[in-house]
Amino acid sequence: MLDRRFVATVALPAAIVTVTAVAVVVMLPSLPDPVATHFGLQGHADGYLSRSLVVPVLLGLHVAITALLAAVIHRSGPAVVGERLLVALPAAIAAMVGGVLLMTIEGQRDLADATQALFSASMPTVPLVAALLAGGLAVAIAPASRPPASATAPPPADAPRVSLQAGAVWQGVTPTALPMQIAAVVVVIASGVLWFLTAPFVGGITLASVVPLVGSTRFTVAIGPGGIVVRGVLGWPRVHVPLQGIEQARIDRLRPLAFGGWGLRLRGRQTAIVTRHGPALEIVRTDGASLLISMDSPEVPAGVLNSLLDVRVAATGDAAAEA
Amino acid sequence: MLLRLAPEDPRPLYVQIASAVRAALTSGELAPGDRLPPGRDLADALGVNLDTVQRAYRALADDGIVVSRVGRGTAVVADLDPAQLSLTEQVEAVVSRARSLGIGADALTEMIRRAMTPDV
Repeated sequence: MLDRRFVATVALPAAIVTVTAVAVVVMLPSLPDPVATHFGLQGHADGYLSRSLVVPVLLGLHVAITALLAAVIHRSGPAVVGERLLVALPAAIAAMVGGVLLMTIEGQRDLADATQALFSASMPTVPLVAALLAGGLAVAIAPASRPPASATAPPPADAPRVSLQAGAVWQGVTPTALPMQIAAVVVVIASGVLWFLTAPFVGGITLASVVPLVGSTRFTVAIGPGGIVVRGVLGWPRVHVPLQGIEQARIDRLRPLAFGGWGLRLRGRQTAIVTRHGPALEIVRTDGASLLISMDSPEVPAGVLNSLLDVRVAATGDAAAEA
Repeated sequence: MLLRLAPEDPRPLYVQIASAVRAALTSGELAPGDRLPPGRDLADALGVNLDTVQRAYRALADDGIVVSRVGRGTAVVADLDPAQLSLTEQVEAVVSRARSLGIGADALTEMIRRAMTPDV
């Protein structure tokens, strides 16, 4: 249990939460009651919380969010996609939430009245920097990702296959994710409304969130002796699983609700690229993790991948025999 | 789209890739106007250098089979005639055979002309 990944995803975030809690408790007596917890567009305080609730509510939320994230990510690795980002997340979020909490109350120390509290630029920027540093530290602590062991046996005899003698390259696309397209349109409209109703920068930030939505509407899939490459419409997200670490390819079904939505999803040791409810290609790695991709007629890419694995296992078998 | 590579093909890899694209076109696996995968994806899927794939695409472009546009990738020429491409491949095979038999261009042309002349 006490391996480096545990330290990075659980112990480090716990330490950050503890340090935040100690700092909050030390600062608490010097804070006004109630404490300002929200600021309006002009920079003045417009939301308050009773000082006696700061520890149970604000610290409590910090602990809960961090614990939940750490637990989920600790049980999900090593992941097929984005392992470094996942490892960084609990520590980064702990640092960001803790940073926001500390920066908010820090400026109110020895203030007679919370209505005098003012928003300052350090309130969003310091937590962001802290998040980057904490995330970087987590990644440095976690073990360097090693590709899983090579398969020593070919895929099962009843797995799908195509006729191949040597190499082949297959390319296809996933079905389009209509809900993502709809969501993108809704976000654009909402951005416009917010732009004029509140402030341009609010509309601008909202508009920026349309990028991952559009990028997840459809993915291209390429399969060959180098493995499998899946790429979103905008170029990112991009997943590359080398052939060495693959055990077999199967056909499965993907339900968006089972993975909590559409696009690039993570659930335990399974990573999924979900664009609709229906047939999917499943790539099983030798370490038990798997990647699922929504595809029409997944038996063709599955067959190509299994046949390529046959060729590879036979070649490495020959090489070992000659050695 | 499936491109098959032949086992133990002694030709350089970029030639094999270009040849596989041609074969896909004549078999109908690939159609005129279809887009080829981005070089980077094909290179990663094959486990080769991006350079090798780009060389293959350039060779195909030089032969007028595909056209590359910045930002839009590489696509098969829309007005390509797969039947004519198949014939071009066969002509190249005949030329290659003639060379190996020591038959020159003039002799080969004469053979073709005679074959195309209707019996009198």
